[in-house]
Amino acid sequence: MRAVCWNGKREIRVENIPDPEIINLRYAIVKVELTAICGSDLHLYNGCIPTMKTGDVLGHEFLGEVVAVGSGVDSLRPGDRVAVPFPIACGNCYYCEHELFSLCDNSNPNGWITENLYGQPSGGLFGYSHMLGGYAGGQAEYVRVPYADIGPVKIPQELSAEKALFLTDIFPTGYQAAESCDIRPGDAVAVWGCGPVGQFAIQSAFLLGAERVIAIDRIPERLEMARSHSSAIALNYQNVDIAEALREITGGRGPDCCIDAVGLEAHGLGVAGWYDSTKHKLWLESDRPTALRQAIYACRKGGVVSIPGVYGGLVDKFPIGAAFAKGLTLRLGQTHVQKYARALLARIEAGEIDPSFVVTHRLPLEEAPTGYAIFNNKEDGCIKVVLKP
Amino acid sequence: MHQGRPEAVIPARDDVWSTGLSEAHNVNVGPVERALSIVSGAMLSLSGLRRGSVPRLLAGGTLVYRGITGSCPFYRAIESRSRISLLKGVQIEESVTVNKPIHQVYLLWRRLENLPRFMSHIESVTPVGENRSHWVAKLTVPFRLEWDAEIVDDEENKKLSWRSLSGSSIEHTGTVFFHAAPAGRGTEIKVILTYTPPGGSAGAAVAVLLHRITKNEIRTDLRGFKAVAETGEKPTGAIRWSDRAPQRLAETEQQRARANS
Repeated sequence: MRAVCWNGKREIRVENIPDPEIINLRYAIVKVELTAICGSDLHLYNGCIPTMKTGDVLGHEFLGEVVAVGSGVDSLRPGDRVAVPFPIACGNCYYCEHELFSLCDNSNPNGWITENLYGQPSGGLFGYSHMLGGYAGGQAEYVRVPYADIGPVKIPQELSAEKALFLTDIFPTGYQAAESCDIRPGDAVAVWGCGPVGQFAIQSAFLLGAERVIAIDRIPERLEMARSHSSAIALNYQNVDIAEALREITGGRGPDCCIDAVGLEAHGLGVAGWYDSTKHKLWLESDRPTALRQAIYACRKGGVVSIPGVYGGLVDKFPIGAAFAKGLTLRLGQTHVQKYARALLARIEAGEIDPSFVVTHRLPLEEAPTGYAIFNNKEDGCIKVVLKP
Repeated sequence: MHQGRPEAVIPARDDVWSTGLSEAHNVNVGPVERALSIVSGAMLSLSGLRRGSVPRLLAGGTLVYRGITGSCPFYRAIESRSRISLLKGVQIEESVTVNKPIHQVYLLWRRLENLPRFMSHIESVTPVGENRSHWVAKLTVPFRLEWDAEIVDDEENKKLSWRSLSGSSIEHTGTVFFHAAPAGRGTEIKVILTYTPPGGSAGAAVAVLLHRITKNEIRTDLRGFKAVAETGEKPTGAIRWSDRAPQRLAETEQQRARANS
């Protein structure tokens, strides 16, 4: 089969690799109908995530047709059309039983790596490095899906693939970020980063009853999408002092909730930006927390800072004093997609939201390297790339 | 490397414990490396003097010293640690919580022939009569190590202990404690494994095995046990049978049959 393979930093190739087989009882094989490049794939593309190996198949957002199931899977049969959540979850461990699917105890065969890094082993993800399981990803013609009785969500044939695809990651990720904010009537929510997750966080914040949402980015077309599609107030951090603007907008209180949908590769400005990029280059700091610092500083007292953006290692000059003084609540972590996907599918079917609005580029799988390059460089108005095998 | 790596035959206990500082005993750097050490150390020291760099001077001085005396403190630290621990054998204690009722977890352990499914250093455990079993360690050719063991303590849902029979090529004991986790959170198990070379000296196969068994590995094995107990299978990143880590063929075939049935 054809698959998008990582070959080193900014080196993506579409290669011929062997088709997957049913190895465990609870496996299914899915023939991919549509897949996407996620913003978090760019961290792999840019070499920010360790334990990648040459030839690793990328991708964790995919939807397709079940073509084979192991004998342990009763809930699926060949011919079913499914969207597959990006975290791999067994459904049996303590965390899965408590709907904390992305923290699954059993899905990561290389859990010892993250156990050494983080104190506890983390769950496995599709196509996201060997420390997160070494699972081949979804940017391919076929994918092997473990614990297929737990993850995959059946998608009706009449629903377009583009509407359903983002149930696998970015829509639930934006939704969980907004839900973590405990939004109450009248709340103002500020969202750093207007990439696809940011766009869904904005949409979800409104769905959950936010009064106002303030979108922060530097890319004009992303700000424009937040403004025109979601009626957010758009702020370009290159033109305005964000802390000052947020105070003004919220009558001096600060936003009730702040969402960092940027993560570890934040672009900084001024002295702090230079400081972080220099330390990063010297390997003295693995993550650049520019957006997170701003979010903590801007948030109102007693507010919530919700972090769907990916962080992997250590940050420097983390404003713990501001977070403490203001009694903030920090909510963070990978998305428990399995918890949200079915309810969000119902919202899509009811016409409350059409997630396909984020798609700007539709490419054949063979052109994945181009997709990665323009998405990474934010060229050509690129916000979301979908790939068709 | 120098004076043989631990995989080689291990000298008798007295030899290792002796603290005699005879020159022969102290030399742990080979002649070629000693010469290289002197030359490179001298060059480093000279450049340190020219640039006024203290770290270079110190590093250069150390290299010259170990070249002249043939005694390297770093090698010594590594060697003495691994040798002494090898002769004492290994004792590893690890715990894990399994999200299953205590009796189910106990039964999975009680059938010791299940061990190879998650213990990566065990090739097979075959029951031979009441409470006895035949064990084969997983080693690469030409090393081979097998022994017989018997269950010496079996308290249902509380404790299980086994030990190798006397005269085995390796002394092995295993004890598992079972304890109900609070508020229905499954079963906590604590596993204590010991492997000791009999009579204070070890053959190559024993040394290879002891070298392999680390706390990290046993912890990973227990996670494998937990996965088997909770989900019925061990996770794998492999996408094809042929990619699987070296595995017992019979088990692969069984699994393939089950998966495709």
